[in-house]
Amino acid sequence: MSTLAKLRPEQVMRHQPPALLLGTIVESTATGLACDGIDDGPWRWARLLEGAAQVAGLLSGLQPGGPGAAAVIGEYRDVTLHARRHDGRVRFHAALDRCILGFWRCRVDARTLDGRLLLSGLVAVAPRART
Amino acid sequence: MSDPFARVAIEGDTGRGVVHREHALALAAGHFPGDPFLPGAYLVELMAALAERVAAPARVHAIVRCAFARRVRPDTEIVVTARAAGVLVEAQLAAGGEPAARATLRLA
Repeated sequence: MSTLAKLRPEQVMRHQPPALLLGTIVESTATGLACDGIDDGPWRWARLLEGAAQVAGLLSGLQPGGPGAAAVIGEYRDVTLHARRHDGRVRFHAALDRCILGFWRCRVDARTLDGRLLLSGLVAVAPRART
Repeated sequence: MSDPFARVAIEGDTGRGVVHREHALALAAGHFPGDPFLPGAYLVELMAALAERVAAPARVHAIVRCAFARRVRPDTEIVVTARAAGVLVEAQLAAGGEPAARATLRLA
């Protein structure tokens, strides 16, 4: 566990409730991050996807040379909805896949606490969005 | 999710939906204070909702790709269009008349 694990997502993210979907950081490495969801749901698939995007954004934003708190989502790719909805606790994982032209691509998933896969895919985090 | 659309028109394998402004405001709550725009995941959800109207009873199983071109403010008119072709649906979302997102969705 690195010092990142001592952070709370709300300390470094612009999201405020009800948009903030990340609770506690439970695991962090140089290229990966796992966070528990902020509540027990219900987690419809889009809320799971947004939580997965938030952990990807947090991971990317914390990288040296990363987009920081201004990160936005540029693209989703190959996202599979393994469940339409989940009631209960969830854990989000993000792992850095590659960085090209300022876009940080992460492999993400959302799982139940006993490891059942709810959603998986790729998220590209962009430095900032056009207004 | 409650019905996100104020108006929907389905014709054959295509559809067009105008998003309720109140729904858009709710989706953008907390994202972000002083600089509100809709999270990309919820834009995908809006496109999937129309896709499932067009392709009923099929449901969206996967997001093959969804790319975002600009921020979508909740106080702008948000219009979703979708066209089904076999197991795929091509969907687009415009905000204030400007293209904002494009997705390819896979049906199950």
